[in-house]
Amino acid sequence: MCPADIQHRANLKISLTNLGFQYSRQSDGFRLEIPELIIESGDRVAVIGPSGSGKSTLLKLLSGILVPDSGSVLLDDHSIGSWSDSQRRAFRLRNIGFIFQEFELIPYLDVRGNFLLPIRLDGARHIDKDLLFESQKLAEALGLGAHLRHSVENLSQGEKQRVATGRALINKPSIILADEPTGNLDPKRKSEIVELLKEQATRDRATLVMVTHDHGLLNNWDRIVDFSDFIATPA
Amino acid sequence: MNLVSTLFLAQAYIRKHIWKSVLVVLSLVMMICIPGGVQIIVSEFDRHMNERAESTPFIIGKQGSQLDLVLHGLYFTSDAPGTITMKDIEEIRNEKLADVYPITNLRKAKKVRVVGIELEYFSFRNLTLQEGRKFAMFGEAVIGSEVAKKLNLKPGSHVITDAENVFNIAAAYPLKLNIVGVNSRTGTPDDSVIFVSLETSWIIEGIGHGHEEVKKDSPKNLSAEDPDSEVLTASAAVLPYTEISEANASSVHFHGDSSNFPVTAALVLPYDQKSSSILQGRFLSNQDNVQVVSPKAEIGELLSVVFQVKSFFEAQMWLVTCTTVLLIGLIISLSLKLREREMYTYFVMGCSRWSQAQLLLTEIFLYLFISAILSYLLLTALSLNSGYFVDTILSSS
Repeated sequence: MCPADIQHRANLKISLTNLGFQYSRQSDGFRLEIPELIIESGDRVAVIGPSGSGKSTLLKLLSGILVPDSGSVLLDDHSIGSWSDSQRRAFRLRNIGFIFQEFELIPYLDVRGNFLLPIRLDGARHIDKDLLFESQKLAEALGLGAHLRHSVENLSQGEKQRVATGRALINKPSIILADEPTGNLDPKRKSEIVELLKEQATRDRATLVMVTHDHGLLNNWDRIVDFSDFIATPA
Repeated sequence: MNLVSTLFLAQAYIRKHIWKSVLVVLSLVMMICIPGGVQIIVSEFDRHMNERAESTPFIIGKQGSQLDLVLHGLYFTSDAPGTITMKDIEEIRNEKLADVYPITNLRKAKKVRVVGIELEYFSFRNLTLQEGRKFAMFGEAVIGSEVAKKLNLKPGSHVITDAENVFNIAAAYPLKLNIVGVNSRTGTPDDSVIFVSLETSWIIEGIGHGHEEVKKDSPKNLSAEDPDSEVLTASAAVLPYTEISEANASSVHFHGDSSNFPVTAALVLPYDQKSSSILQGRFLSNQDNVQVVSPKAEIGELLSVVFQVKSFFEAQMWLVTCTTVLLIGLIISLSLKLREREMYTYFVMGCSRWSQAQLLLTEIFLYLFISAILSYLLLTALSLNSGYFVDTILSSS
């Protein structure tokens, strides 16, 4: 796969083999080692584990934000570590929907602007009537239909997380990576967001990997990966 | 990221941070407009001063400050070093050396200079009437277009000369000047004065006047001498007319020898080089304290001082510009620091490095573009009105 080939891809199988990673600047940090982890296309995977065990690092490795020191992250048969930074960025833009615990919305854009951000960042795509209609449908599905023109700064925490979810889903990504998306929400909202993610992932046949340390959210997942099983030792 | 998206995101950021953006744009506008504006004003000042100086080869007047004499005679700003007499003017005329345009510039009306001239001055300066007619009678005035605008005057209205000194009971009375014409705008100091005839200016000075006729049968308080005497002497109770009308114009008379009547300056246009040399030679050896000055040389000296000051100003502006650029750089770098998380979000989402740079560069471009447009509009407006500004500066000095 070269940059020009990095288009939207469906049904990606993720394979991690003998993966090792350590933040180089952390001399006293932990080294993450995963002997093998395979996530089939369309799987809904919950990742749990103690704080500092490398759950968020896993998401960064899966998305190519970080590159493993050893071993490989394979997307189908392609090693993400062999791609250049710009290739990895292009892959993320078109194939991965990222949801953060702190939402990371763009404060100077309204709800629709945040929804459509991945499209705007992709120079090859234009915002047309169909996309606007799609964003409207998605906003309604997320309960934000009346807020499309509102500033994201004036929304509640739950609404902000739904905007972040909408932004991650607008591109119909093949992989949805959610890093503790419910960390800032009340219990009722937590379940709502998780169910919504599962529902959208199923609808779009996307792979969903969600990091959480909330054991109350672990029902109805295809797979639960416990990071206590992996080696995260002082380097 | 395509251009439309980049522009969309950049304008959204600018709109969200409108006050910061206004501050940056204002700084840039000031950075461009202050040196640009000074350049325009100084160029206009240069043109304005030189144009008038070049059209007047010589100016004569009382010995004293040459610059004051030039500014007084050409731009009607400074007071003259003193007065010369009509005799000095007549001598040049009699010798047929030059055309001479005498002026008196001693008084004001509503703080506007009242300049006494001969009618030939209008054709010399190519002054045409916008409305009304030229003065024909004592007490009539033609005003410059700026005066008409400033004092809201037109033919048919009047203006009264300012009192000379309220504590001087011997001073001449203020004179009501009847406006009979308004000159077309010329963009020169002629727009900012009130023109009257030399005779009217002498009436304002108290050299000429009209008053009630004192006869033998006049009320007693009007004559101050022995009733048996053949000589009638008017008392202080005889009031001079403060307005000259058709009815009393015939009573206006001047006291003294007309060749001794004062003029404050005279514009001299020698007929040829020889006449020019003779004139200069004559006034070099003149014993009557009259001097001849070349306005071009005098204004050249003045402008060289102005340009020296301008070069100091420019040097200072460069320092201010450098400081402003550094401050804008600081604002941008602090803004980038504040936007680290936003940039990280773009990175995580897969935005390319170039797109991130493109976004920031577009914001800077928009700041520069808006500033350039505003600066262009301001400088164009200043350029179109630079004559008015220079006139205002000169007339207020």
